[in-house]
Amino acid sequence: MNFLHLSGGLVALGLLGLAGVLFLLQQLRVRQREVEVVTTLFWREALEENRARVLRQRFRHPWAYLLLLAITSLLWLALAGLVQGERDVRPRWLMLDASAGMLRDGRFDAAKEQLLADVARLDASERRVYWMGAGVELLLAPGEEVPLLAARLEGRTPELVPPLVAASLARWATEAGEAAPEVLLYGDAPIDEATRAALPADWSLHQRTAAPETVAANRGILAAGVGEAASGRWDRVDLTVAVAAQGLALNEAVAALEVELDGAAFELEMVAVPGGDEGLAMLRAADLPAEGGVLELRLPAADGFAADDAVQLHLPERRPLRVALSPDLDPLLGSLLSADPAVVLTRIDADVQVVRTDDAMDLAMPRLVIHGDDGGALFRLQAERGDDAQLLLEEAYEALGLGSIDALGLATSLGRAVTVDAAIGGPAEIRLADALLDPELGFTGSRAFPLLITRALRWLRPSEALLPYVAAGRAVPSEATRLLGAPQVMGAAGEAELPTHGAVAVGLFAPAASLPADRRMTVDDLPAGARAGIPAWTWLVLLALILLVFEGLHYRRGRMP
Amino acid sequence: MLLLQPWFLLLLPVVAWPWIGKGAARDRGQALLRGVVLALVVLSLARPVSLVEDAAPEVVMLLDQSASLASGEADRGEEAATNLRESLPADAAVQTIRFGDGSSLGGALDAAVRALPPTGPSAVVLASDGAATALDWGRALANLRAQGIPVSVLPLADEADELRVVGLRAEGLLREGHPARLIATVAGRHERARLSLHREGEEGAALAVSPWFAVDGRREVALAFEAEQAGFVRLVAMVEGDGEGVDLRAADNRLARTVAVQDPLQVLHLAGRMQDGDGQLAKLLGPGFDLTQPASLDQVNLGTQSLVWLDDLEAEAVPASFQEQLRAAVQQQGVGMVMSGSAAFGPGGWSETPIEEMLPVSFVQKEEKRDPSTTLCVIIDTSGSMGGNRVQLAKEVARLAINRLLPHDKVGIVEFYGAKRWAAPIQPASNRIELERALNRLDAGGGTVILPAIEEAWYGMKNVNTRYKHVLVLTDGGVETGPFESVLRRMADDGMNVSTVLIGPETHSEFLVNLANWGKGRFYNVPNRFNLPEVILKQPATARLPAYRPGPHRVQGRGGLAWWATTDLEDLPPLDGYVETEARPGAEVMMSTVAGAHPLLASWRDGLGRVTAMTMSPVGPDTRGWQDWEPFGTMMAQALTRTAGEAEPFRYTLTRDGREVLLTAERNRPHALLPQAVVLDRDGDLAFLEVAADRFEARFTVDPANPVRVLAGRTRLVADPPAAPELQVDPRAALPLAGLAALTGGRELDGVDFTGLPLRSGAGLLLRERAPWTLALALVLLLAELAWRRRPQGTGGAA
Repeated sequence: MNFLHLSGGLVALGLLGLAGVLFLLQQLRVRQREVEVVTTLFWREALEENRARVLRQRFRHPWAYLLLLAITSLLWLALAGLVQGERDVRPRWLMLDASAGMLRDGRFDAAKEQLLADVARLDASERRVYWMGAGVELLLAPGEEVPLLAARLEGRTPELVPPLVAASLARWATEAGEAAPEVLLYGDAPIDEATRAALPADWSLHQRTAAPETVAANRGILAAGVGEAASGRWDRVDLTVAVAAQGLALNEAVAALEVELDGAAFELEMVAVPGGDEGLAMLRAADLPAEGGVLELRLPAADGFAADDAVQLHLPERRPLRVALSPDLDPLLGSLLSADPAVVLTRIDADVQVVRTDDAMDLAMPRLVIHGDDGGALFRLQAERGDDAQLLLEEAYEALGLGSIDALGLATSLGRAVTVDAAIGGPAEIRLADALLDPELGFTGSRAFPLLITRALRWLRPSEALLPYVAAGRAVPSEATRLLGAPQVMGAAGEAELPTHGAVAVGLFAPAASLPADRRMTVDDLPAGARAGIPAWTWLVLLALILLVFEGLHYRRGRMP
Repeated sequence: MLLLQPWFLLLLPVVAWPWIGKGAARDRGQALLRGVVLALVVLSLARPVSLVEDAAPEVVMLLDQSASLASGEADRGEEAATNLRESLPADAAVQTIRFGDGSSLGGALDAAVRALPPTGPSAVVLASDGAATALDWGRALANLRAQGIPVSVLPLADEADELRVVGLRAEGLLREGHPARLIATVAGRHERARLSLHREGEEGAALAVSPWFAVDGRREVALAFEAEQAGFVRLVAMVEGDGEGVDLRAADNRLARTVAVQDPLQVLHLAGRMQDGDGQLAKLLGPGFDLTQPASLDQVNLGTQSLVWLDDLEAEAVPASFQEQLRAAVQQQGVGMVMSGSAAFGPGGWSETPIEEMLPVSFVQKEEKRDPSTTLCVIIDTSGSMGGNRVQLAKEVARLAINRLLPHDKVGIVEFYGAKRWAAPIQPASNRIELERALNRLDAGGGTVILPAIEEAWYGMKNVNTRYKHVLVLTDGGVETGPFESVLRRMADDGMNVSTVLIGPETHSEFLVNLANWGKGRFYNVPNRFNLPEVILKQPATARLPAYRPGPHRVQGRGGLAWWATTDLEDLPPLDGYVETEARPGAEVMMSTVAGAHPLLASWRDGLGRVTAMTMSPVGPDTRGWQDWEPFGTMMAQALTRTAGEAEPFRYTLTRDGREVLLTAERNRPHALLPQAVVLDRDGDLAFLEVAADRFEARFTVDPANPVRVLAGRTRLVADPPAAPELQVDPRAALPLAGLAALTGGRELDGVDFTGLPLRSGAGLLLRERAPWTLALALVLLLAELAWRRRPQGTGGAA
């Protein structure tokens, strides 16, 4: 037995106080009375009994006292919020699917209505209600009541994300506490057999809402993303789009696809490529300009699900690398860099500088330094990447193509060992000993030399990693885009910011929402067990009410003081 | 105001009861009070509530209890939890979630988000060492940020000095029979430690052992080994310490991981002259190469090959159509091609073929301006039928033929006229005057008997030493019988050709045509002096010298480690023979002769593929001296491996987050194929969707406790369960606590002072029960009513 509002001691004190107050009231001389005495012999006795100007009288009517004490005690205990002690109630998790698919066919309203009804019927002590949208939110904690849930759901609509119920359930299954929960599902997020099988045996799943019997026809964009141009052009990307239709003609959907680049209509030649299926067309467009524009693909919104009718993609921005070349360097370097179409030689706003020792124009700018041979390492690397110089060296070995250099030939020609040093810290820098540029050495004429120079510039100023797509509710598909070391997971579809790429458009790309399977879901009964009941303190109040009426009745009849 | 049990309002009529019925409302004041009491009690039964803003903070304290914590740090966390409770206002709610054994940081953060209301001042406090068994906090982070919940952190110390293995991964694809590197990561502090690699269950025998090394925090150590068999292998890395250092727990000195070993490299070996070449090569190269020699080239699918090896093969053994296919496969599909052997580069006949253009070397067989010595024996019919103009015509033809000869050639003239006679014995062609006189002396008369004249020429030329020997029969075609065919064929076998010239108006003589055929010569006819033929006696005028250079030859190696790996280039033995070629501009020459710098091993990229030329035979007399040179096999294997293309048309990547697995297939060259993959121990192919240009994804779920093994195309992939053993967490994979606090708006705590703990802004919603207030009022009014009805009324007295 517990109390919600007062402590046990305070409750006991209150009861004692009530008993005392009632005791005093019981002794209160309530009103004057006329007493007839038949003989003066009793005068003194009657006088003593009904002494005038005396407030107290002796304690009488103990049953009346007890009745009033019972009534007030009941009210006091109710006021203190008497509740039953811990009951062995199984946890219940009520999960409201708030993914994009619930926007269709009035599913969300139906699920919400069912949820509110169920919450009112279920015992509140171990009942949790979760919002399963872009993330998981606790809508109703144990003990909280329906109006709070209604208030928290007020105005909320499903979010543009794929359903996360199954994944969340599977994850929670590995973290659950001792008591196995009963899980009540509101919405039609698919729970695949693998997920069901992965749940502990004592967990129970109850589907509380059914999918609608008819699914409105839809056509939508299931996927859209860019990749390196098959043409090999560094300043172009290719685009792939997956268009699906359910209950509508696929050909018409494909033909109706509109494309805009930066808000203006954009002519794009889309060709069908293998990989399509019944109701799914795979389209490809080649050589889109990688100039950072926003590409929008749009289908006419005359179907049952508008959320998948339009997709935006931020095309990558690939501009030439601006290299400041010190004029006193070997003209060979200038010729080599000029031959690279992705490099622009400039004197202003450079990204990377190529300089001779102590000639650095901007100490903060990444640089390739040709330094006088001091007998040290012929190749030296420096960068503020990680904290392990050995790892930096290993990474650079591949990135710079050092494996292609004829180190033995160089060593033989130079009469010394060819070594590479790496250090952590400072602006990114690669230092090459000028002995390497001696035409008689032959290194500048080898295939490895142009590879080394062009790769060195990219290593010093890495270009933005290509993001093929960004999808709601999924990890960003790029190793470069990690958040505190873990894959970065996106929220709902729309605009978002990535630390590595700035503004990106997050697509919905949720086949389960666009093409819901024709599933005949059986609605399960509300699980048996603890139902919502009238709180214990309410019963006390009801009893107090009955006793009050009883007491009043007796008072009317003059049987109570 | 809302009512949770509104149906109790049906009891409201009881409020009127004090005023109705017998004895009602004698005392109006008392009746009013009782009515109000009853009303309040009924209202309380209906459970009035109101929604109010809630400013009381709610905080979830996450307490790391994992075994990786340093001694006493878990207690420090508990103390911090107590301090937190005491420092927060009395109405604040604090939940404590302990995690560690089997639960991850991401899971703990996820649980914290799920425990907090969607609005209102709330926060998460994380007391942890940050050591992460899995990098799984991405989703929880997104959720925390979306809900604006700040996470403040209390960094706890971990057992950083304990020597332990914290990682084991393969570097690149492991392939059966190929050298491979596994990178093991060791953490802790120890002045001398050593790693060993074992097959699980066979930990007595080490596959590889590292040298002794020092560990100061974290260190990656490469373990070289060779995978013996394709498939999935459980490998165990074990570390042992020696000398100064902390190594208290033996359990964390061992880490097991599953690695995928790919099939041997598929090589289509088209071998030429060498007998048992395949067998010798297989022995030389080891088990890392699967050499296949197709029965028919028609059924070869070049797109599935990593490498095509034309080994000592002549061009005529490869149909032109296959050569075109091979060129397309190399240039457009990235298939590698190796051509080797003196037969291929020597007289292989690859000149002016599609393959020749692909090679990084050009054939430099020197052309010799050569006019081969020839002996011409002119047999002139001077029988009666050749009378008149015909014998003159025959003489003209003979003169023309003789005039084409050079001084080093030889000429003889035989006439026949029923008998045979050497008009001019065989003599140098420079004796022009003598020869002219002999011709002039000829005149027609007598019968036509050719065979003895031919035989005479044969005998006459037999002992003459010239490159070509030719017999030119000039006659008007009189037919005779005799063993012409056998004689002429024997002459042909002796290197003598017989051509015939029909003199006269007839255009055809079957007899002379037959003579020319049997004698492997030509037939001409000369109707008049205006149609004198140019008799071809020798060809060609130029010749290619053989480019094969028998040895021994000193050789030199060059090029980067990518080609030579560990082979010592200073120690290359001499070569017994090679074919002289010349490196084309842009070709990489990895090995050449010291004298002449002729390329022996050269390579370049051709389109998407790579082509390598070895101008000697890998097995055979050229490399006889190399067969006992131990690194030869390794060197050859390295050259083949380096040349081999990516046979797999997709580059597959397998990543998993608990039970969710993502298989990515990236098209690595232009083609129209679609990726295919199966999860082993499960039915059915995985369904891929092209999510971006040339990028396909398949998503599926697996049992989170077991490794997932996939066969994608021909590539084996494996992903172990992500959770690392609690004590073997890689320090580099730790959750950066300061970064977490900065990202979410929290701060770093010391565990004592929690003042100013960052909370989510805004107020929450609270449903406040009003029944206690209505009941309290009812109780007070009830007592008041009791006092009212017992109040003293007037003065009393005894009558």
